[in-house]
Amino acid sequence: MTREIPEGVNPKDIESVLSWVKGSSLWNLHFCFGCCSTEIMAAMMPRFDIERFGFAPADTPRQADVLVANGPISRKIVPRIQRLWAQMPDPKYLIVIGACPMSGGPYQGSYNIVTDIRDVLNVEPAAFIPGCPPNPEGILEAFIMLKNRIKEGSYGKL
Amino acid sequence: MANFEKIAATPETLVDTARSLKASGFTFLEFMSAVDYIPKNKVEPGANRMDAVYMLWNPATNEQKMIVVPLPRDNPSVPTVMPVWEGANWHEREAHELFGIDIKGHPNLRHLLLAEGWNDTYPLRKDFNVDDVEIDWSAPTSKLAEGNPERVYHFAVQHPGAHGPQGFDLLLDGNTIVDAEARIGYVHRTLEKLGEQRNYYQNILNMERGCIMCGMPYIDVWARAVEELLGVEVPEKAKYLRLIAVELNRLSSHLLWMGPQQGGDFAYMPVAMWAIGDREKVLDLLEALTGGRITFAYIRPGGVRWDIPEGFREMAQKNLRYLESRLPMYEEMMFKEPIVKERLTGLGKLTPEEAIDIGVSGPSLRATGVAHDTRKDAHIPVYEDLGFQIVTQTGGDGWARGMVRLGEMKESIRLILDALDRLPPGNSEADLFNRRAMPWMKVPTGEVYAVTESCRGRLGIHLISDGTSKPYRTKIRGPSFSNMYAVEHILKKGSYLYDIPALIGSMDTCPADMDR
Amino acid sequence: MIFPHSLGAWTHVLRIWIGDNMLADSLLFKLFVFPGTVFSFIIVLFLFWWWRKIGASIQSRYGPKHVGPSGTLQTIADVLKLITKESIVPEMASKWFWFMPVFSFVLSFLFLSLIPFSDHWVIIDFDASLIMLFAVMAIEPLFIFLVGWASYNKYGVAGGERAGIQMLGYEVFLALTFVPVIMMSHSWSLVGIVYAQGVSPTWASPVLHTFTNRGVWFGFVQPLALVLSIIAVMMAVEKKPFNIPHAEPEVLYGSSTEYGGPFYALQMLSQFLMGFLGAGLITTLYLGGWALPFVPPAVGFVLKTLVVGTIIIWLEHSLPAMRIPHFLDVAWRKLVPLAFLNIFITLIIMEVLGWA
Repeated sequence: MTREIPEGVNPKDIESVLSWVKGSSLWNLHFCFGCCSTEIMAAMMPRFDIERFGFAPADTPRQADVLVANGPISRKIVPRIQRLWAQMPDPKYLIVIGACPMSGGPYQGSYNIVTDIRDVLNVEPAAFIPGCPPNPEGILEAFIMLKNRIKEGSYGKL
Repeated sequence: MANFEKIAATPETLVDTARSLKASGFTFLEFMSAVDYIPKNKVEPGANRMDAVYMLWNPATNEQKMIVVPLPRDNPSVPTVMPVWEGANWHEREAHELFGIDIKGHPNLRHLLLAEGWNDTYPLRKDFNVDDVEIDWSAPTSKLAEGNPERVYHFAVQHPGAHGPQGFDLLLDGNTIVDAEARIGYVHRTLEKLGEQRNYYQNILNMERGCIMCGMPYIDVWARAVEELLGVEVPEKAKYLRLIAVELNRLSSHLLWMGPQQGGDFAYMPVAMWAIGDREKVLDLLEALTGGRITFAYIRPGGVRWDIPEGFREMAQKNLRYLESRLPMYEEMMFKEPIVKERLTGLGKLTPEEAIDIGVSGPSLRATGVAHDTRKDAHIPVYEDLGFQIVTQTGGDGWARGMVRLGEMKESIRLILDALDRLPPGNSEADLFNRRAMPWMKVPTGEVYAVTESCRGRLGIHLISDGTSKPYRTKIRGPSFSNMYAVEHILKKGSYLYDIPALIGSMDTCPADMDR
Repeated sequence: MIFPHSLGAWTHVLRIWIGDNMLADSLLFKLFVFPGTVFSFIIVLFLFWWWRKIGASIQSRYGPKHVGPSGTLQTIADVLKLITKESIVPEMASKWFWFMPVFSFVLSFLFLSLIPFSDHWVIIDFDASLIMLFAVMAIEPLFIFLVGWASYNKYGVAGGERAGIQMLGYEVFLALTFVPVIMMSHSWSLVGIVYAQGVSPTWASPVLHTFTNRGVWFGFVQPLALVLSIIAVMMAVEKKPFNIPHAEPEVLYGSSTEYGGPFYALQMLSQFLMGFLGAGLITTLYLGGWALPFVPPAVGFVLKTLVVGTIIIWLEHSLPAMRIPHFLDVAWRKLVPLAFLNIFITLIIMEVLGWA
């Protein structure tokens, strides 16, 4: 489907509207592959409430925009992550929470842990938030970083 | 603390020994695992064998016995003890895939924790090389999926009703479950092998991640195991502080269970949200005491890291009294509400005999009427001084399990406040313990099995030390491993699709605990 | 249907469609602006925000807050984002895959056409419109099933099948709750039922409505019927506790599991539209339709419907989901007898009040 910009409309305006739209409504896939998911869940609940910013949970990958890598990546779960990522429609984003998906975290040296999510998905994440697990405020920080990067246009295709 | 007697057996006499031990009162199989001795080990230098070990518990007398079956390292093989204890099913599968022990007569020796197409390399053997691993990704996900994967309904991994990366492959007829097979192992972070690679100090962080919602009992039991081997006595104050920390963690875990786990199963959002909101108050206390909300590293061999901060007593009084006042409301919303009551009553009914045979422990066991709580059975310090009462229910169904957890929450609040009132003076850590040298401390050769009551059930660590600064074998007996087997057992007996999330939630299985 | 055969006949048809002097008289305006497409989009955008705010308030949270003043632009952002996403059609899905969500939206639009926002602002009005409405409500579960079936997805089919189970529970009950209203008003048309509640006509409608004017809103005379109707409507539009077709913990997202992007936006919109219209049905049957003092008729209707809708949303957020056997048990063993009892009570009330 080709999208043609009508005469007289500034492409920059369309881009800024689109990036506002996509940044204001980020739905993250409910996929828990480890410990940090408890803090993500705490982030959606009273006291931290990330829904204020428009970040809502989605149950199926077809409705999700963001895959939150939130735990140690065991070998068994690798094909499932890849399949879920493939099932998510474009534009989709990746953020990494916790030390495990970026370096193996406390489980380095284990025979069953893949240390870097970039090896699994071949995608650069928008944000890395270290911690074991990070605070819900840290998780909110990750989402806001993603939103800002979308707005700047430095991440993902619109 | 449990020290145990070893009973030798051979593969031929194994089943008879097991039967006679069970008849004499050892009705609970804690775990079945193995210990690998290669010639250059320091525990028994020169030994070249694999010991299959079966840890048994006598609930009536609180005795522990371990059946040890020495096996050759090439082609080790034992008969299955499933006719004696049904719960041995998954333990034997795990021993098979991690050690390579062939279990004769086992109905289903497919991979449980490791990826389905893992080749014939056995990770927990001492001569395992991680470069030898190859995984065949086309292997079917379960026995039900063999041949025709399309007909299987996957209720696993990303399914929101499965509460984490665990689940089942189902064969359905409408909404009725014809057959079920569990799929776990997605969070298998190999804590046991890492336990051998880390020293005793680093293992505190390792063991803590055994269960994310309930990490404090793990470090508590690890610390007590190491102290037993070192012969260190912990000061009174540290024992009280440990109790406070463990019970706070139990409160936060049960609130999490009541909220998103059990309440979320019914899409009962008010309870889910309010319970987590209240849990934040408990997490505030934990953060004030230990510095962490989910992971703490607070309890270490010798004592605890630091004393209670100023103002902690007042904060605890305020937060816990508030929580206590909210519990009747939760009781009414979760257990008296007609819709929820109808969903929980009769859900996954277990009889006491079935539960003990499978190895179910914790609130799920106490809900069947069996009054066993490791805090009392193993005489864990301070609980009895504070008048600890075991909470039980009869009925064995989801409603009873929930009521037990609710009762445990009330008991935990009382214990914490009493312990704070009666906190003795003194040090929070043993004086004669050289903290500076702790990371490099060498623990003399020995073997110990330490138990405690984690939020989900009977948690044990079987620790073998070899005189160096790293353990030789750390076997973790996670309660959710057996509890999840109970769920599979219940589903196989006949159940419905709409009951599964509530069932998993009511048995409160934690994938981290199961997969270790 | 006679094809216009002369210039005069064509002029006559065009006049009906475009209107003589008042644009507002035209069918086109009603179809596309109010109460048609534009209005339904606006009301659905509002309702989605309102639904999230009420839910958040019950759950001690804030809900959408920062996207626009107090989160009011959140829904627009959500819908626009969904529209701009890649639309994925699975390889094995039926060739009707993309058509199904459109079809279910059209069905809810048909429902919208029947509900009278006032006797002037109604798109389809004839003297048996209640029966047609009931027929439309009865077809709806079939479309939910077709949506799931067309997606060739296990969870979709499982969810769609459950829509059939839900229908088994509520169809008869829903029909029985309409009966007292028909008995009291002696009318089968929705506009006629509103007239029967003592609301005076706002314009000279060309349709002949037969009714008996009772002069009082039926909700006051028949509170039990009002409560039962609210429950029946909640079952029909699948609100919790009757959200069996899309019970998240069990079947992922039910029939629309496989639909993402623009397809999902359509389904979300049609779901909220049905919720609004269900509340609108209650208003029409029991709460005097469009009559509210000091406000124009259609505005009165929308306001009252939003109040009923708020009550339904409130109930939805406070209750857990029901188990299927429990739902069928309650529907058939408790609610259907209550509906029959209600009919009996209606007879007694009519005797007491002297209504023929």
